[in-house]
Amino acid sequence: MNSDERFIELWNDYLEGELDESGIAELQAIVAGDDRLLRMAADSYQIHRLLGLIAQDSASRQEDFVSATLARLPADDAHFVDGVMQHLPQGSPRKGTTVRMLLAKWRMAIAAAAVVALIAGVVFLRPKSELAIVRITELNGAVQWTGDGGQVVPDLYVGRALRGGTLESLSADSWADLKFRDGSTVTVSGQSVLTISAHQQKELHLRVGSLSASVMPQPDGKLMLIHTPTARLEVLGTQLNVEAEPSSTMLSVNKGRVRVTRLVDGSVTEVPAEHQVVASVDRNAELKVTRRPRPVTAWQSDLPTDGLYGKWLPELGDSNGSLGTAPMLWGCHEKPITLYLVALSVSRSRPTPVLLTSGGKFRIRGQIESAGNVYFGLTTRQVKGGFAGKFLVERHFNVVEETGQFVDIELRLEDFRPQEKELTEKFPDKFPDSPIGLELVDWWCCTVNEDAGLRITHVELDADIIEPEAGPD
Amino acid sequence: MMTRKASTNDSLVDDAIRSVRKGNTAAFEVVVRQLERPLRAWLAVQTPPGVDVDEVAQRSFVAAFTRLRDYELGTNFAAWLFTIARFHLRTEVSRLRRVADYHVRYAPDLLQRELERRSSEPPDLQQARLEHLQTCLGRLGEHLRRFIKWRYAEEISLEEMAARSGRSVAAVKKQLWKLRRELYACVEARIAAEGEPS
Repeated sequence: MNSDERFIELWNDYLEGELDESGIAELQAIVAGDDRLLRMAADSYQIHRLLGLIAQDSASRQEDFVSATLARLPADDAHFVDGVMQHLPQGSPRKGTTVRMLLAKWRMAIAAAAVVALIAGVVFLRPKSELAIVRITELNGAVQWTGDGGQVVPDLYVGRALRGGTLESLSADSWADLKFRDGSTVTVSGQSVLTISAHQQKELHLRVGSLSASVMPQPDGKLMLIHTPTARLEVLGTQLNVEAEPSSTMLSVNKGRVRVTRLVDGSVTEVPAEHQVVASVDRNAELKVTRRPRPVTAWQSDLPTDGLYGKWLPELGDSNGSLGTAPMLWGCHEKPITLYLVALSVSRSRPTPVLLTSGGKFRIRGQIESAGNVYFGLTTRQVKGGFAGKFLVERHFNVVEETGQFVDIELRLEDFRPQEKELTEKFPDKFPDSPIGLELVDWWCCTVNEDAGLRITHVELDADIIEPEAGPD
Repeated sequence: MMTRKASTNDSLVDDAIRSVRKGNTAAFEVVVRQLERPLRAWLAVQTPPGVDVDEVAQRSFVAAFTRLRDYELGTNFAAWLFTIARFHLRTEVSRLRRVADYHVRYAPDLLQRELERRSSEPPDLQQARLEHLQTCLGRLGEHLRRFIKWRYAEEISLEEMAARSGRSVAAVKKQLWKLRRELYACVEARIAAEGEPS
């Protein structure tokens, strides 16, 4: 192979992010001795960057940039904030949003509040940063970032580069997609806390919550590491889903292979594709790898075990108890939003995938004390795949039942709509417009800014069709 | 050096700056909207790997805003902004150089120096390159343009590209190399033709 051919090979690997340190050194040596190749490299690099710019170019990207820039300007009076924000289109900036029907009403207030906080000095205290590790590629709901020496950044936006730090997805309806420089992607969803670092290799610490990762093949000796409170996962290149809680970690591997170390006793196992394992703090429990069970199409809540968020009320009428909404404050700005929220895990009491099928219905039994809108939501993922978006349906309750009386609610799966419609339009394969055909991850309901005294005693999913025959035995 | 027509509306920008100086600071949005694309295009081709283009661009706009009283109306705000951006870029690159293993991990030192050398090119040349590149892309056959779409818009892996196209990963890498070279040649030919007397 002559030096031109070798240069092309190394240069292509460099642009693809696949060149290791010795390769970079070799590339450096080749171009050091040949000005022609150096110019060729720079020409190629500049075209590469412009192609990237063209690919990213979109109206929403411009809006993100403009709004983020304006938010960083120092203000000389309060009119500045209102003035700037009134100029921005309703749909931008595409920052975190919560229940979408509410958002039109609240977005301006949230954006303005965020600017006020920034003007107070948050942005201008930004310390010098290190190299970006990940970039936010999609974002929804209450998500905040703590990085750079503890600086809390609530005003995240799509496209923002992040260095080492902690990402918190704060609510049932919130999630964030992150992309590493090598194309590996990670999605955190629901109430999740994820710390990201990349010194010698990519390292994630999922303190609690749900994570989906599609990991590009990693260099030898530099596997991606995912730490949870109860396990350490070594990932070479794969698609996986993790749910972490203080006392257990549930790992499902869809592609590739993941090595799992259970922290309580150091026992190690490997999880191949289409298998799963639960690593708990119980050292007497077997660290057993099992083939992913066939999905079921029906599900019933097991309260209070399944409760992810809410307030457990031991007795309600003739039921054994109920999960009442608990307040969750979003933002520390002038006009914060309070969600009164109940969230349930679908996998906590039974690690069997739940498939959402045509004709399926949720039946919810509970109590509501005052009239108003209630938002019901689902988190989904692709069958044998990663995060597939969140879906919502709204119900208005006009008649308030007498205290102690239950309400029965029926919600058809066909009535659920994507929480972020623009994402569905942009990436229909990744974020379908219907939850049908997807796996259910969690379920929640909430009211906004009004505590309607909502309590849930039972949730079930019924399907009209029989369990699918396809799937692993 | 050839002269190019301004890609931004200078009078619109100056009107907005007058308005900002009178206290209507929200008018700075007009400035950002007019200049964000050329500034990001210029930064994209000057910055070595590891530099966040949007971050430098935003810092440049903020710096220009805070020093707006130093700008003399009618003297080309875009040029003034690019001078500020060049300063911010150098600061960022200097900082990166001090990161111990930056060159080992991210960028061959010589590439960075070559990019720096090119940073003296007129900023609007990069905007023109961007526009010509879009034209050149449009002239590629669909069977070739799909590789660019996969790589830059969909950002799929080389393995996925190989699977979709029925070629080997090595062949896909070569195809991308060839396409970048062809697009570069197309852009430079159009730039050169633009500079010739009609």
